[in-house]
Amino acid sequence: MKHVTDRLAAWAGGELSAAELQETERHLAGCQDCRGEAERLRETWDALGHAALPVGARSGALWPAVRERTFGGAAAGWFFGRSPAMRVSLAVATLAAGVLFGRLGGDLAVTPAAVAGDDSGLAAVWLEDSSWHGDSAGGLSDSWLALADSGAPAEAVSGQGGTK
Amino acid sequence: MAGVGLQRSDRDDDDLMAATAAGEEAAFRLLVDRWERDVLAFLIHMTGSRDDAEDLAQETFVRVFRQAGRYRPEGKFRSWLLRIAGNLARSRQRRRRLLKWLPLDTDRHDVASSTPGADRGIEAEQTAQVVRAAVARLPERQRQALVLHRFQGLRYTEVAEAMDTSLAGVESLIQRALAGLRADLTRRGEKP
Repeated sequence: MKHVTDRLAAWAGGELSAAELQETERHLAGCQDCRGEAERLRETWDALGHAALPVGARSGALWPAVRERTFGGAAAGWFFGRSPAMRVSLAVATLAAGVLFGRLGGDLAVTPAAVAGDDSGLAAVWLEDSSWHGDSAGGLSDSWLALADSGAPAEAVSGQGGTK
Repeated sequence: MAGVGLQRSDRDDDDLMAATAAGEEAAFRLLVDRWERDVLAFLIHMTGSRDDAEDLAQETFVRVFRQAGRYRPEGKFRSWLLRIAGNLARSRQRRRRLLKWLPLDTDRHDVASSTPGADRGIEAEQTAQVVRAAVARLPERQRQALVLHRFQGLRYTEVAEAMDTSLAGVESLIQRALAGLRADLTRRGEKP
């Protein structure tokens, strides 16, 4: 049997199958070179075991900070916790509600809004003011809507009172 | 302690992730409390810095939350979680090397100073510090594989999942990590 040096890490870490283990140990019993290598590797393995850092009792310690960045911002938490499809649906529904509200309200202007996480996808809605007046035939023709899978808080669209 | 009580739940991780995606805060808290020590331990070994580890652990769970809707319930939450943590750790170290804020010289990292050593012999603790420093000098992927396997107790298959590589790849990484570690320690006059 050929030398077993390339499987000694798996041997030390208990990753060999029963058959492999039996085969390896049979080889080690008869091969001084591999046995020496196995002993050295075992020393390194054991030294690592003593080097593991104790973390201490921390359960619950992380939660306040994590909560602040997730459920802490109620709208963000509520939105980001949803599936991507749900986030898109919510964003579209919000947009539709905004359009409807804009048409019913007449002289409403919508300001550009874009909200995105640090590395999340972008959900941005920008509506050109002229398309928002009830008499505009274009409707949303001058608007663009970008929705990516990571979404954004549902308040991305907001209506503002006042006349353009 | 409230957190300990919260950890005792029959709900498995996949179930908690589904509930998190549905907006259930208590489910997400259970996940954070259940896994924070593992994530923190892993990140301390990866970064060599407790402060960095705590910062990255927080970021890891924020990412988990944001990706809850995309999580596939296949019973592999731990691998998935440590994959996120590992990617964040490697990303931060790359950025730091690039900016030369912090050379990857673990002799200057703060692990040693923050390690409680009351219940260890001084000599044993010194040896442990030397070994930890040698681990931190390993190439990034070798270190990640070794830490996941030896310190976090992941099987090769789980390490492969966490690192998005093959079983043979993991075996090779760990084999080389152990050889490199031994060579490093020998060169520096340590026995293993």
